[in-house]
Amino acid sequence: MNCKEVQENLSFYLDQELSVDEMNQIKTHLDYCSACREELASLQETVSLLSSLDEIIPPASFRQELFAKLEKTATQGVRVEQKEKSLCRYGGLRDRFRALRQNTVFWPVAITMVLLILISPALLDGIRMGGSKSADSSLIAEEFDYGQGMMSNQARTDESLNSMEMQSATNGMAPKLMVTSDNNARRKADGASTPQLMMDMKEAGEPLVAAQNEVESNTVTARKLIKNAEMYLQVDDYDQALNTLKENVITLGGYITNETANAVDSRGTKRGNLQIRIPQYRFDEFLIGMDDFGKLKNSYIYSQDVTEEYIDVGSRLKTMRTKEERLLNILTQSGNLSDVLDVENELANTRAQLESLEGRMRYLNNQTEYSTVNISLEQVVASTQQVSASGLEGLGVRVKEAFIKAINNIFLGLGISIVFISAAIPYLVVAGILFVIVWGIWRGLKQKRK
Amino acid sequence: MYCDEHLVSKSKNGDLQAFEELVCRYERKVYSIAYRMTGDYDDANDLAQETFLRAFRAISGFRGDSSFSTWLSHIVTNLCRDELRKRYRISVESLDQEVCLGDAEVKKQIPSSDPGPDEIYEKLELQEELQSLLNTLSPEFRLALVLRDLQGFSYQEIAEQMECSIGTVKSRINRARNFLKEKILNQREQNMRWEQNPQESRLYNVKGGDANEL
Repeated sequence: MNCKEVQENLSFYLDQELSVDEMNQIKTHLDYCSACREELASLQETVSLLSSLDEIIPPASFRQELFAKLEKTATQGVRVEQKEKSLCRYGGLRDRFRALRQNTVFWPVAITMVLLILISPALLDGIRMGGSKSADSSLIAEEFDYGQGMMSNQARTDESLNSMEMQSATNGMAPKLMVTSDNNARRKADGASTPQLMMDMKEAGEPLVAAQNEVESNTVTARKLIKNAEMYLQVDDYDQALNTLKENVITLGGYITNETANAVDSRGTKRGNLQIRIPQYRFDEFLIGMDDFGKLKNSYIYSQDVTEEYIDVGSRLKTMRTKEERLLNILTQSGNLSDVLDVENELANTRAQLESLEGRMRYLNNQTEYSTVNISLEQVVASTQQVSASGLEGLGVRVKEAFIKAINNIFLGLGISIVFISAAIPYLVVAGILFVIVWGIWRGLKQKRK
Repeated sequence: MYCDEHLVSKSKNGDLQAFEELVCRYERKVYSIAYRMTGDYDDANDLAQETFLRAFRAISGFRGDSSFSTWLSHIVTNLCRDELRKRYRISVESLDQEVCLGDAEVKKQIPSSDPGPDEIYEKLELQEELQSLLNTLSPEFRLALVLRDLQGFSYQEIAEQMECSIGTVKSRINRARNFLKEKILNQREQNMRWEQNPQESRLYNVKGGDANEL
């Protein structure tokens, strides 16, 4: 070893951070090299000078300030630290949760979510209510476009109107009286014939052919329709609309069959139902008139064609009558008792059938003569036509109901949320396992890097 | 008197008084290291307090692999090093371009007409001189020297703490020592010259910026 090398390693020699071999080499060198010995001496001195540096006594304020700060930290953090200690036993996941809980974003988010869950039933309810109000209160299954209804009915209306007009022209009486009048007479007054109907009137029995022919020539050719309607109106003033409606009905020659009382529901709306019968030939006129009443929410107009049945009943009636006549004739001709009894029996049967047929005929007539209109009126709370304080009606009841409803909704919401959370637990478990695995790997990698 | 371990475990449980007792035991050491590293009393004050605060907060995580005293000195030296790095980032890092950092002492000339220097006074002065010399070292070299010659850590421990290889540690210690040694020798020469020439000394009040002479 030369001096340069030795001097480079003197520091380590001092600290004894060299291998035994190297130490010996330097030692040997030092024995004969005074220059290096001097170097070593001055180096040693430097080191001992450094070592001799005293410890410094901190100023008096040091402790005071420090203790004050420590106490402040202690009161703030000691609880956290103790929790930390107990949680540390369960591993890093607990730390994450603790950090999450203390995160300033966490709490607002959590509270918002809980509120949303509780409120959701009320929201859903509100949406349902607003969207399909008619579904709650209307009586019909499907909506029917009023305009369209008018159009399709128009064709039939013209026909029946024609026939009706002719009827009234010939009879010159109110429709009501038509019911009781003789069918024959009415039939005769009817208009054009329809060859098709003659074809249908084929019945067995020769004796009745003559009667049939008579019937055929006088057959009703106009269609027999039962026209009914169901309407749902929104009006500004319930009472006023109701009265006007009743007046109209009477003006048109109809009558009221049913009336339900109006009720004020939780929202303060007045509702009611009116069932009326209007002469059929004034049916369409009446419907048009409804436009003025208020906003039509929906309507359902339907017709039932009972022509076939009507004709059928009519012809059977005819047959029965003829049969009755003939039986009576047979009776007058007399014979032995057993024959008479048989005829009486037959007569009784025939008369029974006649009665039921006549009943049916009467019903059909009534239904076709008069249309049944079922009107539901609703007065809106907030009318856009004029200012009204109807929103405040029945406030006490409404408040109570709303309050109860809200409480029920909270329970509902709780139930829903519990179900939801329970359903979510499997997913959370799977996600949790995955997370732990990934996190464990990440930590492992981090450790290795260190 | 409780032993350190006992006090430490008590502190872990949140016993503030136990920790304060530890503070009393080690405040000098921590403060000294801080001062030796920074060369400034106020900085040392702040850093020492910060050291203890951090220790208190982190005590629950102290596993006891090393002694409490070692753990403390780790904390303080790290803090000091970070602080120095932050402050003197612009300044050089290599030893060869040393710039005088911090306020150096004005080299007082002791005129021979004054009463003879007290031994204690001399010692104090010497220490101050040494400190100012230390202040001229860059943080890494200073740290190495402080850990080795003031704290007595082994090369291995120093390498762990400074997060570098032992070779680096060796090199740093060696160079730092040599640098200091040179400085001290130069200083002595100057002192001797001034003593010999009191007249000259009054005229030339040299400040501690010896960098030019390197």
